[in-house]
Formats: sequence, structure tokens, C-alpha cells
Amino acid sequence: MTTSAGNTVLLGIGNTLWADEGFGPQVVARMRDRGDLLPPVELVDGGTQGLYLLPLVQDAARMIVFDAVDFGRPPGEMVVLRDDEIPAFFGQRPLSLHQTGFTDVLAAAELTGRRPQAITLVGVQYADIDTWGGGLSPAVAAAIDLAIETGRRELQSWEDATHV
Amino acid sequence: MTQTTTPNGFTLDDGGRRIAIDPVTRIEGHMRVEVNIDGGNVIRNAVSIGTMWRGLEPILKGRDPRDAWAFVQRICGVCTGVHALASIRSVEDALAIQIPTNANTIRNIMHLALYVHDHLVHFYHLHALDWVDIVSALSASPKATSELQQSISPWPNSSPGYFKDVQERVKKLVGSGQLGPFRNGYWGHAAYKLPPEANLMAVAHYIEALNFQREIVKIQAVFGGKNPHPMWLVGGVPSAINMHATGSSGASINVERMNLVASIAAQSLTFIEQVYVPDLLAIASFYPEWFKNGGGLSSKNLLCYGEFPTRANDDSNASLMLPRGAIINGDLSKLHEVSLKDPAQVQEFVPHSWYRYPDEKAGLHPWDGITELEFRLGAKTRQTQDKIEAFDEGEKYSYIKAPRWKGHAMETGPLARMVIAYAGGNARVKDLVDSSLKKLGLPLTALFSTLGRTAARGLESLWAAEQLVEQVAYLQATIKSGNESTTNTEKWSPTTWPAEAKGVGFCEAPRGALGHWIRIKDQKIENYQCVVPTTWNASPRDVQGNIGAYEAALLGVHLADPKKPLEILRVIHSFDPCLACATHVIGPDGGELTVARVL
Repeated sequence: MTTSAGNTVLLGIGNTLWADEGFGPQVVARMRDRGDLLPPVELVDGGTQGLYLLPLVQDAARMIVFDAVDFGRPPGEMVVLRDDEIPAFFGQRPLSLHQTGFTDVLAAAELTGRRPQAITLVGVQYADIDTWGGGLSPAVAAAIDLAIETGRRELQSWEDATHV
Repeated sequence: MTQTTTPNGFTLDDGGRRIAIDPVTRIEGHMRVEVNIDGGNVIRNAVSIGTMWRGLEPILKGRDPRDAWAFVQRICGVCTGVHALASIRSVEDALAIQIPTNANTIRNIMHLALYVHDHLVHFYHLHALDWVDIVSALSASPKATSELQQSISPWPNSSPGYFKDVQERVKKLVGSGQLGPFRNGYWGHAAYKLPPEANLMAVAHYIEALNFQREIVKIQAVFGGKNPHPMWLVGGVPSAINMHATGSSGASINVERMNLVASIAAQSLTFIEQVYVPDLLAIASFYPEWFKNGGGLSSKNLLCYGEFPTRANDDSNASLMLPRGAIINGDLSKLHEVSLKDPAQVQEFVPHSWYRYPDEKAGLHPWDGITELEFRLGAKTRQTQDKIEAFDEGEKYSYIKAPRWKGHAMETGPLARMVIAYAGGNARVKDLVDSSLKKLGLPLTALFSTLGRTAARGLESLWAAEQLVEQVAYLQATIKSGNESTTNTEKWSPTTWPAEAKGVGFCEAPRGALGHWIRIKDQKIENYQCVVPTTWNASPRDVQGNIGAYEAALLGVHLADPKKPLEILRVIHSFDPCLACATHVIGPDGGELTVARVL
């Protein structure tokens, strides 16, 4: 359960049985299938686990979170937020475990004094989060590859920063 | 305005203003409560509504009984494991499968660890903020907090510097405008009574408990491979034991892992003794009126199926650490015997539930249970085009059935377990209850209340941590004596099974009595019914009009400010409901006064 101090986590959160809510886990699943990421990273399907994700967040040195979000933009549009920009904009929808949203998990990590030194949200505007059992809507499904590319660039920039 | 008295002795008045507490979650735990308040803001009618169908029973039909645990475990990601345990026990009961001693002990260890984890998370992260005011903690003196801490416990994190640091971290979070887990509180509400120092101490322990709870779950991962949703096995546990030096790295239980489990068990006991219980007593002492409010059914009818067999394959009360039994009409001198197989005892009724029975005047024993949906709203339902403002409790109003024991509505949970163990003569439980009540200067009857439930949960945590330490030592001793068996596969093959069989598996989940009833025919599941703790406690009315435990507990509770119904949260949270909800307070004209999310 404990991970090394220097680890980088790529986390997809959401519910794959719930239309565009499944975006995050699907990004992570496709990355796993492709297997062409910059090593070493830990790929995590965070599902709807809420507070159970706290240890992961506390122990990660750097983290990229993939999630469907509501920015009021056209469906499928991507938004990237870093560090302090994050909490205001996502994770307000309850994940699970008594309604713990991901911002709650981040705040809890902050309270314990242990959170990633760098965290980036790669969010995609959802079209539909109401259809139970539905897959991703076309615009959101089409954004998966761009999300992966965005994540790769972020990892690269972290990598470059450490080698300056 | 209609006043009625229910057969179980509660007076209801559905006049006045109606308040709805409504869910926002769409993932798990779905419930709504509506109450009517009189001119003095006192609750005179309460309606408990399950707003989502679980539906696992039909999914299980026709499947392999050995797989059922993996499906039913997904009923809940919070009290993970309990449905799996009830499920494998039901299959083992149906097929007369005997499990090895180590399997029984390992199940006890996992289940006791769950009690400790679940109760701790409930107290600090789901319930404490009903009593603790975060904003007040910001004005506490770290020095005075340190003095308070040192006066109630030897816990080492007690210096003024430590509390100053905690206060700074909370200040930073509040100052950033991102309240995170604290954003839904009614901070500054008149019903908060703790001095700033007690608030700061409790907030510090909220954070410490966040860090500590992640350790406890490792016990599930050691024995069950992962958490949440550890692995289980009909006939035993899927944990191979190898305590020898060679070849042990592939075994789930080796010397290193047993040492880890023993260490976590010992730390759990210390944390509960030095942090949880002292906090509980300190907080409770400021809220004496809540040892009177919100008792509901608890002073009348309590039910416990019994838990923690000390001997494998023996679920008699002689073997169970916490006895099975029922208390009726508050008579603690008589513990009624409970049989889960007697068709006349546990029955579920649906006249007020969104299900269809051939004869809805009759209850059905779960072996003969039917799960067929029938959603229809009563004529008095108040609704707009896209939402329901008030349900009609005179008709069907919940996806929760109404379970009854010999016709009685029952309360289940830690309070029921502790009172039934007390009545059954359990010396340790009696000592814990008596000494705690003495410290608070309260009589035994104070248990039948909102804080009584919360206190019983804390005392049960201490009891569970003590038993956890003992069960780990027992497992180590049994293995040392040369017994490394964890599974009995004699009846693994379906060819060894009878053509037809039926069984019941029970489990006392952290939230209360849980039963799974199974019928097996031609090696497949013919019928499967789960009756879960929240079904008992959140039960709607039955055919006679008896109200359930939540409904009863809310009656008579006074709301200081109906726009901020903190008191309703205290009552409902004291049951540790497996749900989350949002509060919408509806004015007399049906217009929404305020909306507040409830965690």
C-alpha cells in the first residue's frame, strides 16, 4: 500500500457504468492497454472509492487526475488545471463512501500535511452523466487520446524540470 | 391535521410544516426522510424513504452459490465484507459445510478489524462534526487544549505546539475558502455546546483518525488480498499459511504478515483507549439532553443475530461472543430466543414498499421472499413536474421493505448488541457500559437515546479491539501448534450437493443485524434474499401501521432552526446509516426554504 517517496500516480476517477462519468477510468484503461508511457508511473483506476483514495494521494509525489468535469464548455473540451487552481473546479460530484468527493480527499490530505508536491487535473467537459449503463458520449470518447497526450506532456515537463 | 397512535405506541401528527431530507448521492446509499413539525418546531411525524432499488436478488438467480458473495459484497463499499460473510455462511449452512478453526478465527479477525475501522470512521468523519464546531476550534488556546488533552488521556500528541500546528492547518484550509470535508457544516449553530478547546482537540483527532484508519484496513488486505472488497471463500478463507522460513513469500500469511497484523491490532486498541473513548466521553458530557432525545424504538424492541463464534461451526449462544436475542417492550430481564429459520419470526411486509406480493396483508419469510417492483405514488403525494416534494406515507413510499420480528418493528446496531450482551450477562460489556455511565453520571436508561447509540458504538469499538488482539494471539497459537488448515474443500464440487437445499447466513454488520437467505436447486441459486441492518432501522410502516426505528427516533425532537436541521442529522447519524443525503427544507406552502448537503 505504501509507495516510494518519488512516485508518480496517474489516477482516473469516476463510474464506468454511468455514461461520461466513466471518462477517467477509461483513460487509464487505454493507457494500460497501450503501455507506451514514460516510466515509471503508477496507473490507478480510482473508481468511486472516495476516502479509500486518501493513502494514494498522501503517498504520491506527483499526480495527474483524469476526470469528467463541468466547466460549462462544449462536450469533449479539455481543461488542464494545476495545483491550487484545482479544488474550486472539480470533484464536487460525490464519488462514494458517504459522499466523499475528490476535493474532500485532497482537503483531507492537506489537513494531514501530506499531499503531492505537484498535482494536475486533466478534465473533459461531459455531455451526459445521467444515463445509467450508458457508455461515453461520442465527443467525450473522442477526447481520450488527447487526454493521454496531455498527460504525457505533463509528465515530460516534470521530467525536464527535474533535469534542469 | 390528523393525529393517530401506532400499534407500537407512537403518536403521529401529520399536520404542521413538512421538512424533507433528500439524497444527492447516485452511487450508494439512497434515502430521504420527511418530517412534520408543529408550531414549536417539534417533530410530530416522520417518514423514512428508501429512494433506490438494490436489485441484487434477481441478479443472483440461476448463478453458482459459490459466487454469490462476490456479487452481494458490492451492495456496499463502506462496510465491505459483511455481505460476503453472510453469503458464504448461508451457502455453508445450506450445504452443511464445516470450516476449519483457522478459517473461523481469520473471519473473526477481519470482521473485528472492520468494526474498529468502521466505528472509528463513523465517529470522527461522519458523526463528530454534528457535535464539534470547526470554526470554534480556530479560536481555541493551544495551551488550554493541551491541558484538556492531558487531563483526559495519556495520549502523547498533547503539546501546545502540536495543537497550534493543527490549528494552523485548519485555518489555512478555511482561509483558502475550500472547506473540503467541512464545507457542509452548520458552523456557529446554537446547538453546538463544546468549548473551543474541546473542539480543537476533536479536530486534531479527526485528522489523526484519518491517518490511522488507513492502517487498520491493511488487516483486510493481508487476509483477503485487497481492500475494499477482500476475497472470501465458501468452506474457509482464501489465505494460505506458511510460517516456515522457506517458501513463505508466496503465502498470504507468513511470519512478517502476522507480525504486521498483531502490531496493527495493538495500535488499534491503544488508539481507541486513549483517543476515541476519552473523546466520546468528553464530548458527550457537554450534551446531556441528547441522552434523552431520539430514543425511538430502542427503549422497546432491540434485535441482534449474534456474532463472533469462538468455536468454528457453532453458532449457539454458548459459542457467540455477542449473543443472539431480542428484547421486547424494554424488558431487559427476558432475552427472547431468535430463530432465523422459523417462518413465523423474521418476515418482510410491503404494503408501504414499492414491491408487489400476491397478498400484501401477509409478511413473507425471506426463504419465500419476493422481489418484484411496483412503483406507484399515493394520492396525497405532493409533486411538481420534475420533483417530489412530499411522499404519501398512507400508501407505498419506499424501496425498503418493512422487516418485522414476530410482528414487531425492531432497532438493530451497536446499541442493540451492547444492551443484549448486557442483558445476557456478558461481564466485559457490562463493565464497559456501567463504568462509562458512572463517569457520565447517567442511568442505564440513558442508553436509549441518540447519544446512547453513539456511546454504545464507541464502547463496542473498545470491546472489538480487545477481542481483535486476543483473536490474533489465538490464531498465532493455533498455527504454532501445527494447524495450518484454512479451507475445507470436501463439498467444493457441486456433484456432492443435494438436489435441493436452503440455508441462512447471518452476520452482525457494524450497522446491525444482517441476514442472507438462500435456496439452492440443481446446483444453482433458486432464490436469494438479503435483509440488511438499514432495512430494519430505516423501515417504513408495516401492514399494522407500526413505524420503524428512524421514524420513531425522530419523534419529539426539537429543531432550534428548521432551516438548519442539525438535530435531525444527529439522530439519523447516530444509527450510522449506510447512506448520505442532502437536506431540503420545505416551507408550509411547499416552497423550498433552504438546501443543505448533509454528510
